[in-house]
Amino acid sequence: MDGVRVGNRLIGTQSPVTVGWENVPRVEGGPVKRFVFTYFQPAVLIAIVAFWLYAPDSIAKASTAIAIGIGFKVLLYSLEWVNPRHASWRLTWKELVTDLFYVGISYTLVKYAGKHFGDDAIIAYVHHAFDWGKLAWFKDMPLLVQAFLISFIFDFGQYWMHRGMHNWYPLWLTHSVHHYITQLNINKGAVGNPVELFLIGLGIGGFFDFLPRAALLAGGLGMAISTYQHINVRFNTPRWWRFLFNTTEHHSVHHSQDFEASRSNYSGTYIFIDRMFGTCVDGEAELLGMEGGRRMSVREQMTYPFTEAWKTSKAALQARFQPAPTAVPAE
Amino acid sequence: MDAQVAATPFYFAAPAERRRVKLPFIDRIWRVRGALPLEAPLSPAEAFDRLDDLFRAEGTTREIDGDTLTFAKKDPLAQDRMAIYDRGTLRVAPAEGGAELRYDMHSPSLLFCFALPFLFLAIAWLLKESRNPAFVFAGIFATLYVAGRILEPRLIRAAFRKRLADEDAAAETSAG
Repeated sequence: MDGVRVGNRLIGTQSPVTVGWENVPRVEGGPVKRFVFTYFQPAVLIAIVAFWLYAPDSIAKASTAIAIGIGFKVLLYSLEWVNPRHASWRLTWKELVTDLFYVGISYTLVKYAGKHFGDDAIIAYVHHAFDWGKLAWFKDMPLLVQAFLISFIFDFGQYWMHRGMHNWYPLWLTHSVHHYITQLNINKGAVGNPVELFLIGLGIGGFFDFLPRAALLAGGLGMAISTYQHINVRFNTPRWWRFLFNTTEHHSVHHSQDFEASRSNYSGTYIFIDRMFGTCVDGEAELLGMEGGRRMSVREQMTYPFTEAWKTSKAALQARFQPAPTAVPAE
Repeated sequence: MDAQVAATPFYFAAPAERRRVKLPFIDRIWRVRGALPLEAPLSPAEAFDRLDDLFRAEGTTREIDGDTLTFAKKDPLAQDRMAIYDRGTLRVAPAEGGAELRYDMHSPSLLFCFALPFLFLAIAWLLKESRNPAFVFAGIFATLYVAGRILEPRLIRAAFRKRLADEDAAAETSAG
């Protein structure tokens, strides 16, 4: 495969990747279907922002956010059914069970670990140790600015954590499991080794003093934008949206079997962060995964980072301490 | 269900060291068994030939010995129609009014899903602050198990029936 030159890199030499928006297929069907799948994403974003800005205090609470989140996921599953991007990404019962297993682990064990050993615990410790108080000025800014900054700061941190995972072997070991997924569906974002799920959840948002509603609004922004990273739905995503926000097209390139393509589009929500640092590739890919698309079992997903770390360490130690065998000429 | 097939013991250990443990009722949790009458008169070789594309999927090994096909799967692809099974046998046997395909397959995915409600109940018990989400997920997986235990055997039965009934359909699926 020749690949396509993007900056200094050749994308798609190992596995097919469509580069450039002009080459990405459009939604097929009648005018109603095309209208829905063109304006769905912006309409939901506007509705969510308006809801969290204007909802009365009696309903603007975390339980409402959870209910909206679950309802939205169910709606997106139905969109996958109605207008799939690729038949080869069709959701099966087994895929659904596997994906929801990881969602369940995230909501229970990983959340518990984050609270007691992760960012919540670290932030509480730092506050206590230095007694510097929170950054109270944050609360005086307009609500929407606070919400954007919360989600942007989190995504900026996530960008570098994610990029670090693709460039530093110990972190890659934890993240590699997520790259063995071979199709994108709602909730595929949760599939990965729990150690990675813990690491990717680390953030510094807790340092800032913000209004609770700003946090809910920031969560709404995340839901209405970054959920589309992993989804098997064909949208006619508006030009301005795909310039600013991460899309399923961007993220499919990131999950491509092509190595160079996978080293792009690291942000979770704001793709302009990738544009700022030169790692954005606009396009899409259908063939996803590692090792030619091998699907990993749940058991292997749980153990892979540790078994690989053991194998690599052993090989490195053997190479270090065992002298290389000297060549003996054949008699 | 055929009594002989239903009584087949569950092989609990690796093939080299098979230890027969009879779990006649419990093993319905993870085993899918059934019998499908052959509408057209087919020899075992012809029947297995029509089902061939199902066993050509990546990660699948199969062996045909007379009237019996034995298969095993390792890390099946997500879109493999038999992805929930890791091993099993299919046998073409004489039956009333002709022949039938008897199948007996083992599904670690069904067993995994069956175990998940218990895992999340354990989490609810151990981590008191995660109780509500853990209970919700226990409920979700209990529902998914029931749905999968009903749906998946029907899907594979339909796939077998379609291929056995229509040679052209089997050839098309194989080509596609």
